Amino acid sequence: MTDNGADGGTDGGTAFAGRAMGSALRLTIGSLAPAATTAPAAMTAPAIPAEVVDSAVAVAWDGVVESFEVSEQAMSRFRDTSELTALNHAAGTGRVSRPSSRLRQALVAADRAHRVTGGRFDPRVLADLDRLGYRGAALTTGTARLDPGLATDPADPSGGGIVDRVGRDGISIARPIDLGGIGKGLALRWATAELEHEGVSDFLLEAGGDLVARGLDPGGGPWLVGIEDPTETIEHLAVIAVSDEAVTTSSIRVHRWSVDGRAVHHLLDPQTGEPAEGGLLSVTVAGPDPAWAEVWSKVLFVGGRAAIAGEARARGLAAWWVADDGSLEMTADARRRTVWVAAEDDPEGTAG
Amino acid sequence: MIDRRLPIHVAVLVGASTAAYAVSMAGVTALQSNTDQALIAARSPSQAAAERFGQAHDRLQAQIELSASAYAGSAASYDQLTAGLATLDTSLEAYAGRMKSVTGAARALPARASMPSVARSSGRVSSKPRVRAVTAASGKP
Repeated sequence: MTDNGADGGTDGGTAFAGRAMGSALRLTIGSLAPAATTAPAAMTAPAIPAEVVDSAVAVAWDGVVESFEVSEQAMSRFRDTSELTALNHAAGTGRVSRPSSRLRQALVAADRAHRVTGGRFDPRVLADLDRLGYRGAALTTGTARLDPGLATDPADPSGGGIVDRVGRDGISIARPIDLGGIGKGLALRWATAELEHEGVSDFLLEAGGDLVARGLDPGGGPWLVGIEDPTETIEHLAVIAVSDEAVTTSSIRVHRWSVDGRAVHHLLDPQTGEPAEGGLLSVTVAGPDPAWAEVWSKVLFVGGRAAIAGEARARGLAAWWVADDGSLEMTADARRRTVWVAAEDDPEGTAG
Repeated sequence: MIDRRLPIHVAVLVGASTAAYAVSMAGVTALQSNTDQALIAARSPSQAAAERFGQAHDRLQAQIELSASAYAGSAASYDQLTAGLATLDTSLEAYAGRMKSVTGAARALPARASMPSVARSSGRVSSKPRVRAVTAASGKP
């Protein structure tokens, strides 16, 4: 974490920026005045001096930075000294670990997501990612080679539960775990709780392309969020309006590379341990919780273009997806949140 | 010599007559007094009724005076209302004149007017709005 600090209110709202979990971290404060209500003027709260508000927001930002630091120390697979790295070193050895509260909560959440999605979400693909070359901290200590048995076995992809509980506090894992997506969602969830605890009610908290929106933007409207074009042809494929929701995206725009002449990316199908090839470039999901939005965006991506519409509709998800031909599609719930679509852009405003 | 003295029997007669008269007068007086008392007693209820009638008459007169006063007030208000109605009548005439001119202007308007096209419905915008953030691939710098 470096360069964390305020960058002023150039766009109408106080903003802070820094880095966390390998991604940009940014907090934008919305309306600082008490929310508009139908109460008579005589009942509205008196104005709070700007210095007091700025000070309170700065304290809240410090809380966000601290919260992400704690989350990163617990769940990052890129940090050699993190709890997760230590836990992964013990994978398959039967060694019992006693994780901190955050790592325990993350493992429980990942285990629940694995069950709820019928195994289509599985964080035990770290050995496969390592095999494909997307490495974080070393999975073994010293010069030992990674046991091939720690990777996904297509013949038995489930391979039991994600964690084995030993006694009251102990756990052990059979295969190394990547909490990347769900971990970032959980970090956002906890940082959001920190902000709300500090009394900040209108804000937009971003962490590497995922975000949580609460309340109203500085202009008093919903937060407007652009959906990135994974083909990088245009800046945004659509603009959505959200309030009191999380928005996450699973995309292969950044993390893709070649292995032996084969194009690969980091979104693996837990059934095969190989990059999902379902004809999608990115999936965006909006929902009440960032961790579950992360889970579903990844599950929908792995499910592929043929299945995504039915799956998202059946789950009642607000989802947008970009196919490998660059076209944007969305569910009905997503449509209601969409205020502008590039493909339907009508600069002259003549559409009926 | 002539005896000028009144004969005694005359004197006795006169005295007896006078006494009889006095007794008769006393009796008559007593009888009349009793009669007067009875008459007074008989007339007493009528007198009380006459007094009550007089009081009621006084009250009625006071109410009539109040009613007369109220009537005078109502008459004054009616006079004012009449003046207000005259003013309203004048205003209505002026309003009727304006309505005639508006009606004439409305008749001069075209029967159909072409409205500008509406770009989108239900909160959609036709041009790209300014965004506060972008949801994108993880690891975006």
